[in-house]
Amino acid sequence: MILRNISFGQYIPRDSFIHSLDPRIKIMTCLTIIISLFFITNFLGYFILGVFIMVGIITSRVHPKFVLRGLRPILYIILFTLVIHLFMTEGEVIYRLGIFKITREGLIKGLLISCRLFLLILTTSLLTLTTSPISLTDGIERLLVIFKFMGIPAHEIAMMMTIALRFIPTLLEETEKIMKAQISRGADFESGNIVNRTKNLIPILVPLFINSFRRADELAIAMEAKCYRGGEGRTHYRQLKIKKTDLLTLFLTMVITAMVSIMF
Amino acid sequence: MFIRLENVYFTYSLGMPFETEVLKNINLEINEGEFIGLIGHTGCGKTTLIQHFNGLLKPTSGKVFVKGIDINKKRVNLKLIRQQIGLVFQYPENQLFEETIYQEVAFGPKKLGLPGEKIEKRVREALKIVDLDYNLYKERSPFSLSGGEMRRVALASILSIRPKMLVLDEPTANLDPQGRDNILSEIKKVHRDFGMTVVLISHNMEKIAEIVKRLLVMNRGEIIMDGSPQEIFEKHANDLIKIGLGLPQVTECMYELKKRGKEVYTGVLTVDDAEKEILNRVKKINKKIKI
Repeated sequence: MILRNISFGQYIPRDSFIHSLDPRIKIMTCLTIIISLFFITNFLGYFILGVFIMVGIITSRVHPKFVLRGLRPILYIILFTLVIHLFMTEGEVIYRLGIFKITREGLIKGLLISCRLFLLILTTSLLTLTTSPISLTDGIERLLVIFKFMGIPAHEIAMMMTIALRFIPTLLEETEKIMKAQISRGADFESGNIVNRTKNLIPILVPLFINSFRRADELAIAMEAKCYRGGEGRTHYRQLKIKKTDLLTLFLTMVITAMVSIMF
Repeated sequence: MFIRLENVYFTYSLGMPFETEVLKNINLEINEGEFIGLIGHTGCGKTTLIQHFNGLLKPTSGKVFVKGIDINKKRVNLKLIRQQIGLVFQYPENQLFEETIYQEVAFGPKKLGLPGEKIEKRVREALKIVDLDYNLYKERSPFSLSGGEMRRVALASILSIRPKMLVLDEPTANLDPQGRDNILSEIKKVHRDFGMTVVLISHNMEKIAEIVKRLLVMNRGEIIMDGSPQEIFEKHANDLIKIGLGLPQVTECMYELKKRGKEVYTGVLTVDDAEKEILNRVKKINKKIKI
């Protein structure tokens, strides 16, 4: 059904250069690109960065169809911001529609923001498409360790993220199952006004919450039975190692983004 | 004829790299008043198949008719169809959500827009079928019940819609023998007393074969056998063992006897029948000896 087609944040295993990069390096590279996206103020800059990201997508060997599919839900947000900018910016009027007017400044600003959002999502989905949830949280944990002196519980945060990510598909599957069961009992999720539709969510949400709490309990017991004691002194089966190519990739990205940010 | 499936194919995640064909060329007719067992391995497409009966899934190609109506055409009122075909999913106790058992069972009839007194009548009736005392249980929370009782409440909440056909997906999974026997005898009861068409899904031959009148065996998305349990156990015992479904213990016992040269009938489903068959056989031998 509908829920199965969500691909934003989905991991697609491939054997590629991007997949083999160290997750820490990948996260930092993405952060660099994202920061530079906020410095750029003209189309040429976005174009150059866009080409750079496209090269990344091609080398990742993930089918572009998947990347674009992940963009679909964000499309409405981009359109919405574009429209708001079109009509709400003061400046030289180029088109009039009743009381609404479109300004040149609005058009440029709206398109720039759209480019920025578009590339932002493209970058992050490239990260999640090519990094398995486990190595992603592993990477985040290692990066957060830097902030440990500030009292940030790096391991606990990473563990929570791992668990949350792990249960997303389970929850989706279960939601679908409960929906179907309630439809078979006469529930209707597709018609009625907003109040009724919201009320109709109760038969889905209540069982979903009850099952989730139960599952959380079971998981906690299972973890304790396996002697889980938090992050202290914990060793890892998968050791992260930064290779030369990792450093080279990060360095190259930093140079390119810095140049683009300064020049444009 | 109640339901007819014509050349139904179904593929999950069509057009994605995870694409899998779950149903292959299913042709099936189910008549009113039948009692059918649908048996196959986990993942062979049983659950996917029954979701086509009431339009929860649409076939990738092929047609589904309920009482002669193609249910996947536009402007077909699926609500009316779902009212006639009650689907009880696996672990139906996971779908309970109301505060009291009364409200839980009344959910379906309420959605049908029935008046209050009729709803009450239906709740009483449904709880009676599943052997739960109306006055004792109506105010209790469904979450205070045991697993077996919860499942019976879930079953009652489908029965209260008064479907013409009941489809149950592994209704006895994870129940103790007592709970399993209770549920099965209630299912037998609705079939006998209300003439309801019943389709029972299981991955286990034991018990199911005894009570159903027609058996459908699925393997890898196809229906490979269709007939009475006796017929299937008599003719296809070898194939059943080959695909790993096996036979009920008594039937297997008879099958082994036959293998060792004893001329017994292998389409036997219960211990009693097996006893009779073996005694008959012994009598015949005795007669021969006397002559």
